[in-house]
Amino acid sequence: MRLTINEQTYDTAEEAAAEALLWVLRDDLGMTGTKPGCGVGVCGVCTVLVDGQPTRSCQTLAREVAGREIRTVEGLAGFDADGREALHPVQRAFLELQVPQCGWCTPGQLVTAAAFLDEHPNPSDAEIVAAMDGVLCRCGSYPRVVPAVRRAAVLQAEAGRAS
Amino acid sequence: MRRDVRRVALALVAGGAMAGAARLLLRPTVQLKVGGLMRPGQEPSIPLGKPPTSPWTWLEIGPDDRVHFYSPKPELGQGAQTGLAQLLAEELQIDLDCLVVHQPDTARGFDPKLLAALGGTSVNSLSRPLREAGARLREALRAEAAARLGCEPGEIVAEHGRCFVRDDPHRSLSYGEIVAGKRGAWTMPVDPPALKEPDRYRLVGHSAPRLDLPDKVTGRAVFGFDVRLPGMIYGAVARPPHEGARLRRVGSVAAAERQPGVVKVVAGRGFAGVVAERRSQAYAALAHLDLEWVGGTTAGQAEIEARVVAPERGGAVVERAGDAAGHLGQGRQLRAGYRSAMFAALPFEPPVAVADVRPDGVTIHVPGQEPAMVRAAVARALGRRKRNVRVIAPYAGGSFGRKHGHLREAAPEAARLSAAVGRPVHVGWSMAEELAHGPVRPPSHHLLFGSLDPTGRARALEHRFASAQNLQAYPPLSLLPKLTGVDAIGLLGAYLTYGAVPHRRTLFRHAPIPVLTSTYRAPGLHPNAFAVESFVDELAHLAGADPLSFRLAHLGSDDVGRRLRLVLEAVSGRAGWWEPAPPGHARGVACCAYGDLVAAEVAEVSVEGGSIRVHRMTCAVDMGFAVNPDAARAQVEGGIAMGLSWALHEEIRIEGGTRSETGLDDYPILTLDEMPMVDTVLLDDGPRLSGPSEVPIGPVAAAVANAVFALTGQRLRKLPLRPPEWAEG
Repeated sequence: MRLTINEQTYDTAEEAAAEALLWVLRDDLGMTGTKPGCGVGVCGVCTVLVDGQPTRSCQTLAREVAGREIRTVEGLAGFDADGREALHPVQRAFLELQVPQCGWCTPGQLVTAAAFLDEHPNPSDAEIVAAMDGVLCRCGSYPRVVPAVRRAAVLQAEAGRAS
Repeated sequence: MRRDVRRVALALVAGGAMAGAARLLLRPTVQLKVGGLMRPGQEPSIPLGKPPTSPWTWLEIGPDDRVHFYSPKPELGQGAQTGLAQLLAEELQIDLDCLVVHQPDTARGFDPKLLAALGGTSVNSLSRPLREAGARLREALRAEAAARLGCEPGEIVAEHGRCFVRDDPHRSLSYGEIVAGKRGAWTMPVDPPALKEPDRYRLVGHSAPRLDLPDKVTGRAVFGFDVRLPGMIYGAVARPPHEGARLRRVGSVAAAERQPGVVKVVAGRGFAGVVAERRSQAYAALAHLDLEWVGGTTAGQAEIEARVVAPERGGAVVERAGDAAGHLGQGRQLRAGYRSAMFAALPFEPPVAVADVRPDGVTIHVPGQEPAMVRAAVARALGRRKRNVRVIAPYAGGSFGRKHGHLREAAPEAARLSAAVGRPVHVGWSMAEELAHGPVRPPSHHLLFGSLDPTGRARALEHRFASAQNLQAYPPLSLLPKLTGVDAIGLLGAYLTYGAVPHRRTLFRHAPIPVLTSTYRAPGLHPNAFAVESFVDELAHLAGADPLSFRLAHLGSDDVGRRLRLVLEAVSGRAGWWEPAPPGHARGVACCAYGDLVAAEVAEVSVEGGSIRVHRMTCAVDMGFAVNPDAARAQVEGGIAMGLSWALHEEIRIEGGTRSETGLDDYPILTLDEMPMVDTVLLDDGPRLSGPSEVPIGPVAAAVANAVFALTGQRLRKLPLRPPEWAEG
């Protein structure tokens, strides 16, 4: 089975097709950025993007997303003109505001925020809360999430103007 | 054979000694002493370990000028490693961006007890020894640079990782060059050089960005669950059908062994597990094992609540002032009961271990708070010597008192499976396993009594409570409550911190339940402070007094009282306590002490559609000097979020010996939408040993319940708070 993840293609074992995408990413492909959470699709920690849409990877079989564009936290950053890694605005904002505590839910938060800002580049706080409410955080990083997504929107707009 | 005889003999001697010791240990004087271990106004009695004598245990300096810091403390999300790095860099005179942090490793040479991350002590407890190590090394580097540059050490400036001649800065050597070119042994200063005064701090006391976050936002960071070793395969362990059941017999394993991908079925004393090529295959094969379980409990909630009952009479006295018994029956009297539920510590990264057991040694990667305890547990499980077991502690996706290496832990499981197959084995619990089988927070029941004189002053206060113990998952420490009658670690927040009330007494009864109970973040603080601070509010109401003024009027003139006054006054000002709340909102206040830290909080709530909505939490914490103020604020925010999640939502119930909650769908935790605005005032009243991660949890539940009372006139006396839940606790 062939999966397209972060613009690269990967061939996986037969058995992987019937497994949850989360575990294929982590165990088969060694992409451990995406984390396991509740296992029942509630917490959003395992979120990845499938064709740009936030998707619970623990509830998605790998074969369901063969042929689709999968993006994980490892694929959020881009590259600048010199080929150096350039963090995504949400990553930069999360660092600026020091959002993560333990960091386990951070990948889920980041890809969710990235997809949201793609669709809503100029969001209200209420819209941010509604979008991010689906990712739970045990450590309580919540107070910093909305300001960070707001900041990411600004950084994204600046980057857009610069390019 | 000899080992067995020795074991029996030791057990007999120990048994006899224990019986005699029990008689001694149950004496009231001992109970009062043990009961005072966590009392307010002093550093909590937590064993901290002996720092190394050589600076080179803490760090190495590479020829590329990178400074490799071998952190003895794990990073659990509390920012400990960054705080420690700041302390080191401050004295060593390097910049943080040249640091590479290495995770705790029992092979590094630290006293194993030093590797424990307990009670928020990780940063401040190592402040002096780490700074002295940095200062010593800096002086040794200066002396060496002076020798190489042909001048006196006094002419050398050490700064930003370089040594240069003050009057001729072009003559310089980087730290990496000095170390690389060093011949012979280093001469460290015998006495530690003077440490910097706070007015010269460049890094300490500043909000340095956390060193681990760049890797955590890119997905590069390796947590325990992420560790991958060559040849690693996956293990799953058979879990009991109900609480406490033991595996008596494993029948035929042939059916399980035949399952796809299975490498081996491992069955031993009280243990059965499967190792397979794929994670799902290991779990699937468990169902094909023929297992016979015995014992355990079929208890339900009713039995739990029947066992956990505060003593109307008797109990171990853990705090005493004046003569409470003689004065409670006078004046206007009040009595109230409060009850708290079992819940799960539930770090989002579940317990996990990757074990690589070989004939010549064992290496095991385990995220958590006590690498040395893990090492002992694994050595015991394998029948090996501790010195042949190496534990490495990667980043933990939270721990909250859960990951400690004793009972119901992945480490001994992974070790046993790896030993059986001769390959590295990953055992990663699922959250479902954790909710079904992990230890729970001990439930408690509290009775509080108070009496007011005719002027409305409280003259006597008594707190009687019962709780299961916090150390049950830490044998043999679990014997302590049984022997002494006191669960010392679970007394946080139970003390009556109102020194102007002349007659006070706190009594404890250990109430074991047939569910394994264990530590969680700030053991005891959440339910105990809920009971005490709700009752103080009820007394204030009886006295017709404002709850904040009532508290201020009853604080003692001792150090704890003075600092509680500081935080209560600070929080009342910041929260606008004396101004009316917005329409439909009301405020509640609560405070607590945790060892030598204090916090006060005001909650502003409304009740909408039968649910409590918390709009704002204002918190004043006196945590002493903050090595990293922003990290300290993040810990306050996190503690409030966790306290609120516990206060509003979290409960594990048991019926027929199995837990009712199986996943986050029926075990809800606080969401982003439910998080209130948090406004934090950090007070620095002097150097303290502990960080702020736990004390903000204490006042949350009572502040909210007190606000609900102010709004509705209804008292909530059970945790989690569920209006309408007006019943007596």
